[in-house]
Amino acid sequence: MEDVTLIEATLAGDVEAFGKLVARYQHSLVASARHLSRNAEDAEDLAQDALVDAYRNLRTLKDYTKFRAWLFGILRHKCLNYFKRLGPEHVRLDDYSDSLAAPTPDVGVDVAELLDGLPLVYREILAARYLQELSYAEIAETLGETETNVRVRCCRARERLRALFAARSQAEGGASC
Amino acid sequence: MLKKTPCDNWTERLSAYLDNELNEVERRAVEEHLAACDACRATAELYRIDAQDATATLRATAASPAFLNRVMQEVKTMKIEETTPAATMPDPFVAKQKPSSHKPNKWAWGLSIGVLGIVAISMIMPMFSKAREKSVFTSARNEQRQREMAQEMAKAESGGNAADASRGDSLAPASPAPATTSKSAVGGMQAEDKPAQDTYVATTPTIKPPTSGYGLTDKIQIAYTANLSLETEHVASAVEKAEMLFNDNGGFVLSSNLNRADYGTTASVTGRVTADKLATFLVELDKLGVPKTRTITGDDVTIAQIEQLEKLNQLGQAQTRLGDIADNAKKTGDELNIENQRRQLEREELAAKIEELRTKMRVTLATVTVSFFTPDKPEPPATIGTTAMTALHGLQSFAIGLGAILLVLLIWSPVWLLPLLLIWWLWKKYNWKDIPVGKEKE
Repeated sequence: MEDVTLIEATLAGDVEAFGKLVARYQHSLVASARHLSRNAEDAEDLAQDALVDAYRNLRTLKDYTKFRAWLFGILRHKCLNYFKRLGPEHVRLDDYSDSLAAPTPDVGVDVAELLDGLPLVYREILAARYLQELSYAEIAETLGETETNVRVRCCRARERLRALFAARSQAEGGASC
Repeated sequence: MLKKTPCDNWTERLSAYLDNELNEVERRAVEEHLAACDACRATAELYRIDAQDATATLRATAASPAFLNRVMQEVKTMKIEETTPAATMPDPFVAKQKPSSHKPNKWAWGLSIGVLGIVAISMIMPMFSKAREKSVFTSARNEQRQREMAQEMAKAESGGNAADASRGDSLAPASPAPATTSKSAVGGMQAEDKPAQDTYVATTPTIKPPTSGYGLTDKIQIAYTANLSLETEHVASAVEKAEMLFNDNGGFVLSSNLNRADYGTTASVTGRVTADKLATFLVELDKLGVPKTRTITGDDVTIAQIEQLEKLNQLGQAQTRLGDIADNAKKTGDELNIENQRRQLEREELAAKIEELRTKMRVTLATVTVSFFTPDKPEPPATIGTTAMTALHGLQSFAIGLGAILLVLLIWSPVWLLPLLLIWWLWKKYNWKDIPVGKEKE
């Protein structure tokens, strides 16, 4: 069943219809929360808060076809507030800047840790693109950016990812010699 | 610093291509490039594998089996809100918010101090209004002196090089009082040497603007800029007429503004007219009011234009040479390098053409700015009412000044009050008792 139909049913009073929406997006939403917050323990709480807020304010959604992007926007907002609550001492220096060079990963670091090492701007892009499968236009609307910026940012995220993977391979190659 | 390779220009398109976000034309271009470039094909393959790895890793995190029930239990206890979103509802489509490292109370303090400062300044400022008026008047006089000096310099140069000197002298009025020695500021100040309006006669400028179809070597290329100020009772209608004049003389209006203030109405119109009609256009403009100032500047762009044409010529020759080399190239790599260089040359040629066109436009179309202002009105004779109002204003200014002084004293009270108390206490301790008692005994 389409998102639009389920949303209309929810607004008509059918809570189970919203349950179907939750079932559809729960995994990608929890994964996105884990990736954005870098914290597996708080990820489910953040996703739950986002879903509950989405249900309560469902009437404010104007275009039902944009539900997925809207939901991701709420989750992103929750994650930003989460960082606020943690305080500045828990925010990494590179989270809001991509000017720093990509750090060389240690030997034996898995892919999840590599992805955690990315700045927030790129983690947002990866979550939106690969977990939520949003288009550039939808990502642009959610992040309040232009499509061109999103395109550039996607490219830089790929380049940063490539640099990290390459550095890890090099480090592992050096260690095995 | 990493050296940029020609393929770096493709990276962004490559990324968008893998995300299936390119239009048909761009997609075809990327596919053609990938078919020809081994390095980019390898990069694309690596990007694809990286994305697969990243996606698989990200999706490894999933919601627990109890998650759905937990959410639904909470959802069932609440209702969908009927009205606008609550204040706590985050708007997902807002700009990114960064966590603040400052506590809000510091901001509140900063804001409060700022507001207090602004209030204090706004109370003190009226006391300086007269001084400010005086300084405006002085700057107007300075401006006038500068204009006079510029005109004298232009007169000195006019006999020699007629190309790029200011041409204010050639437009001097027939009357003994020169137009540029009149007032230019309209802020209610009286100019020192106001020209006699009835003696002014608008004359045709003696400059000869370049005609169309000129050559480069035998005629000088000059881009003209003219600034005029006219005094008129009917500023609004003068503005309308000036705008029509711009259009009638093959030009157009770039900007036009009108400002009605207590001291009078001011307006200015900026536009461009064909250079060959500049002289007649200025005479027509003069009829819209009493001319007060007029400055015409000619910028010699002959050399600049010759250089631009020479550059275009050289770029064309270089392209021809590159074409010959490309025809004889045997390796695919060489062809690609030559192609890139040709594209670079094409871009340079386009930029040079645009610059040349811009210069031509400046020569063909002169820029003219005309300002209008109403004449100063004589002050009405003082009546009882106006005297009372003046007294009231004076009283108001005195009260504001007194308030400002008291506020300053209050703010600085910790600084002056404590030493005062200390002096009083010392005086009381050592002098107060001795002196009066001794006098009493005497």
